Amino acid sequence: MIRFDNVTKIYKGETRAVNDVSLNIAKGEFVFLVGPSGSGKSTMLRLMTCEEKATTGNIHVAGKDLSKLNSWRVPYLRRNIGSVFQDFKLLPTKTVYENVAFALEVIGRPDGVIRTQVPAILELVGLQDKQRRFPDELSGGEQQRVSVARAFVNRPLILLADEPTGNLDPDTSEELTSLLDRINRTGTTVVMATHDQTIVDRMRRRVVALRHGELVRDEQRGAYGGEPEHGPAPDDAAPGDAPPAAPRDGTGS
Amino acid sequence: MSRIRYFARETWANIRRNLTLTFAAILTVAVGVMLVGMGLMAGYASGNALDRWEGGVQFEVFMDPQIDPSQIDALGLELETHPEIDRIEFFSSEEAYGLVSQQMADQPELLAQVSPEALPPSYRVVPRSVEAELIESLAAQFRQRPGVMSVQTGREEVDAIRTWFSSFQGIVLLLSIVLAGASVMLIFNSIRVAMFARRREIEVMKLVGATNSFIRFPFMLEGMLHGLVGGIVGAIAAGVLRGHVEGLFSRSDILAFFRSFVVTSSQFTTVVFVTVIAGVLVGMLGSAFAASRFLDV
Repeated sequence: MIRFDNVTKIYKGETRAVNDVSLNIAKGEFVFLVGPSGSGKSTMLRLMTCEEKATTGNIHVAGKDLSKLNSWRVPYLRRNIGSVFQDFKLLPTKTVYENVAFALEVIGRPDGVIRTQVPAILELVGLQDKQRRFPDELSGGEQQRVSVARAFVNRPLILLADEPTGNLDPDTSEELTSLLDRINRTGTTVVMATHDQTIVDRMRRRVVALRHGELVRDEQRGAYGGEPEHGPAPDDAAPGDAPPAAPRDGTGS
Repeated sequence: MSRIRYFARETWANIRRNLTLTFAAILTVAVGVMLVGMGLMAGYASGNALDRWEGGVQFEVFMDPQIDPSQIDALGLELETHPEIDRIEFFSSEEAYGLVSQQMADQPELLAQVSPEALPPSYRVVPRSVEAELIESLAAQFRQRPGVMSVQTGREEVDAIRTWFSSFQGIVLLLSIVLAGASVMLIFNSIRVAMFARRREIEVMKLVGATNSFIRFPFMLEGMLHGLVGGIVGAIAAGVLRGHVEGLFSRSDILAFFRSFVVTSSQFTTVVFVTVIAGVLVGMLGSAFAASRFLDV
């Protein structure tokens, strides 16, 4: 479903955000992407959605070779990928229902599909009673569930989550992770970049660890820390290592 | 259906969100296309007026409307038999009135003040020669005859007026190009502001896989609407201007030329068509420019 072959991404000609990473994620897998800030997690996700192009190496996503993908085909690739972010990226002027419907509306889905799919997905994330609320009337956990609903309403093959629990308290984080787990059980490939040691250790799923843009560990049913010498201690990478972060994307990269 | 509703809603929201910039853009387009219309109308009107002189190879002898009809006939015979004259054409007071009423069809209240008897009957004289000096001397022979009110040759006036109008048109064209440039930039800017105001929506749209053309469409539509409204306002302004100028010239006694300085209805339709299309084009250009500049994947 997702394959990286010796992928390197260099920002602005000097910052090596991802360095010679090879990785293969099969259909239906649940993968944690872990590593300290600036280790290249967000860049990996941005490479998968074609927001960034690999400097060298090949990336295949959903059967497409991204280096050979015409720019006008990128939107169609993204319809196969749902994305969830730490800051939710909900539209404050739209209700819960409208936020989710928007995702179908702008890819030209017919009214009938929107009317049946949106309530169904809101029920899946447990927000059927809050359809008419606005995002700022919801708790952080509820907002993140709206954003998961929006990412999943088009039933994508892949769901990418970039620090989805970064703004949530531990209990809410756990709820959200189990929601992603349920989505994964429908056959959707889930890749979640995270700092959250508790969740990773509890879930015991495949763990891919990055450090300074290099893949340092890849184990099935892994823990956050892995070998003791890698340690879970926060490791702040050299400031120069951090790629130019997108606005409001504080900890990501 | 969901698409049409979406585009209508988004475009309207954009326009409402930055009314002042929208207003500025529309006004600039309006003034610009009004100038285009002015240039066109000046061209048409001077063309229509100049047509009466057929390039200056003929002259007109206006008779005093008060004199005896036999005197008019006598002069007509003299003109007709003159060796240097090819042919003549007579316009009675009634025929002159018919011509005037055609030209003033849009201003019945002005026409009401003109009575057929007050209009001079005239001979349109076509000499054998096309030499301007010969025509001038020929015309001069008839100027002092009894019963002749005036003799008008066109050549010099025609040339002077032609030059004047073509330079007037040149200036108007230049101004309208400058204003068209300013309109494109203003629309470009107002679309850019609209995009900035909606950057979160655009970000989400890109995220969920909306195509570039889908994202751009409401903005293009908005720019086109600016142009369209500006074009219509400009066309209306040109119409008002047309009425004023024609009203002014039809009362002018300075030059008979200006009395035929009119734009016909069909020509005015063309003017409206051109100004509105020009407005739409300007709007499309500005918004397309903004969309391609700020909405890449």
